[in-house]
Amino acid sequence: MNSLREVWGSRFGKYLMELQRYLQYVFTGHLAIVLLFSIGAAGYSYSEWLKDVPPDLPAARFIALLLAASTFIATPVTLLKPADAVYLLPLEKALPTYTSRALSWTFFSKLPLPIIVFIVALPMLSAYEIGSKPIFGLLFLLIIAVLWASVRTEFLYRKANEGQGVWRDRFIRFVLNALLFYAVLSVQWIILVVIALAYLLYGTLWMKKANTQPFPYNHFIELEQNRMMSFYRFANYFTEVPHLKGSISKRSWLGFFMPDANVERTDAQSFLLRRTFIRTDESFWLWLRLTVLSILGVLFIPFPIVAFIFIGALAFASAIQTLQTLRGGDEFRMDLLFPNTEEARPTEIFRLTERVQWLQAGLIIIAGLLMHGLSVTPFVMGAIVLIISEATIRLSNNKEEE
Amino acid sequence: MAILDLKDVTGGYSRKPVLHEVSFNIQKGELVGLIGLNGAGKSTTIKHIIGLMNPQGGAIEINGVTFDEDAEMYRKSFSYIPETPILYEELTLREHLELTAMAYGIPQDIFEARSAALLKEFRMEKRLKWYPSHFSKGMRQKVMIMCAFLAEPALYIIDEPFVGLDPLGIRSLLAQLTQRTENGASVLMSTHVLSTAEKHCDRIILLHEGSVRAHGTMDDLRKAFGRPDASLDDLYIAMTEEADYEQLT
Repeated sequence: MNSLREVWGSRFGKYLMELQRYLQYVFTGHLAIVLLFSIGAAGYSYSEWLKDVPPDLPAARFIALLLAASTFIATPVTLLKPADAVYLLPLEKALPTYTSRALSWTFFSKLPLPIIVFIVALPMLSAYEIGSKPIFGLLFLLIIAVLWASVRTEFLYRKANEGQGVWRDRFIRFVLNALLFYAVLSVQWIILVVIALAYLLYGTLWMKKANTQPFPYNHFIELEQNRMMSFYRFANYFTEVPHLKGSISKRSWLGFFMPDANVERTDAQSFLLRRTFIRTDESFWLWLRLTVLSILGVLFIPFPIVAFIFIGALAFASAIQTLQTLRGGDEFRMDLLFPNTEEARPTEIFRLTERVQWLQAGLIIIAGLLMHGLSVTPFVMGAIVLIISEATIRLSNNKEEE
Repeated sequence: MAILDLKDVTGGYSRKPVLHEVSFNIQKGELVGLIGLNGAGKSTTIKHIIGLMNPQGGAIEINGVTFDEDAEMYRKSFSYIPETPILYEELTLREHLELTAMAYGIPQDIFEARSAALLKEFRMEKRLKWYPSHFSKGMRQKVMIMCAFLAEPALYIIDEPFVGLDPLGIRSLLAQLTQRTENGASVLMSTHVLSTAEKHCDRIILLHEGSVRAHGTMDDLRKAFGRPDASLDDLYIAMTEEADYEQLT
């Protein structure tokens, strides 16, 4: 490694590979199905709403707030590692070579969100007869400038204050951003210039303060670790992330499902796996989220055949994910040394997954009865969940045995 | 009959073996120290004994049974305390003890009596409802030790037991080991704390580069090295220097 530019280049390449590795699981999983249905439904509702928009809605203010909301959080992506606090310490003067590239990536990675908001807002602006082509062009350029300023300012603020009180800075920038967007949409050029100058002054203030402070390695390293951990937690909903330690919650309100043990009568693996499923956030929330989505599908998808496909896909996703979470990774666990663990553990994983899927089927039948009344449809829905879950569990078991 | 018997065990993580024809045994009521430098093969030997790795050659018997002959009986005959405490983050201290009791088929009344005594010995009575995230490293180690002792098997396999324990914890552990060996249990203990090993172990096995270089009581080792007043530290250093010299010549 000859320079910090090369350090950034090498880390960035590895980071992109890591993102790609996990995102392929995220977007081929059940999220893709949910996104497809949700975007379709939202697009349809939005186009219907645009045909007859409420006249008293302050559209310009609303869109200015939305654009401000999509640009004011600009957490820097630095890719710094814990060892940098030691090894990069003597290179602090050369660090801008590294951070300028980090900030460029932060900017480009955050750009799609405000641009999507802008594109979605365009038909609404036309419906309310706000702006013209040149105004839209200017608004687009302003979005880019505001995001760039947000990224730079948040970085400088964090550098100057070691990240303390970052929400105060974010609030100020949210207000400034909203006023800038509103000034363009309401064609008030003087306000635009005044706010832009205020923004410039605000940014300059933090730049001056940041220049007098040493680089807070620990803050940026911790920030980066937390950011990656959030990504791994998210990815862990879709696939197993090996180096991620799942967070645990007591969930004593579910104590009914975790009765006190009688060590002579309770099976060790059943005792352990029930607690693993209920108290590990990943497994519990994943199953609950998929079950709630399935119930919402039953309640809001008007065509039964589409609802059948939807709940079937989610039953498959929740059965397979529950199995994978309970099987755990390759790490050593004390129960690997328990007598008869080879036979008992797979049987209990199978049984527990089956039980939680029965529960899902029961909840689907109740939702179906609410939606369709006492008819065949709710029971067909329940049967679909049971059959697909059972098939998934058995096929995955056979695969495991092979 | 030996409680643990290793005969010409060769093994490792890949085709190139880490262990070369390792042979030793442990008799009933013996506390045997497994001593070696980092990378000498202590943990690999232990992994082979507890059944996490299959030997490429040779045989391991616990209570006269190999893992392949009867895995359940083999596993019931020992409990293991790893170097790094490995707990279930989703279980409380009490649940760890209950889980161990269920796995090893301990009756409820015996479980209650044994766990109460262990909790008192290791001063953990007030932490029964705590989750591992609230434990220090030493407390985590104590949970592992209590679970291992709860099962009361014929053989205890302990890897670096003193790391992270406070002086009172070390004293409690040594007291428990003494009491259990007096009651007929056997212990295989891997450690770098040579002074403690010298003081408490009935026999020492010196492992170097995957082979047993010497074994026996302290007196046997002193005679073998021709150093009647040497401590275990002195003998160990003499052995490694001798081995290095042999390699050079």
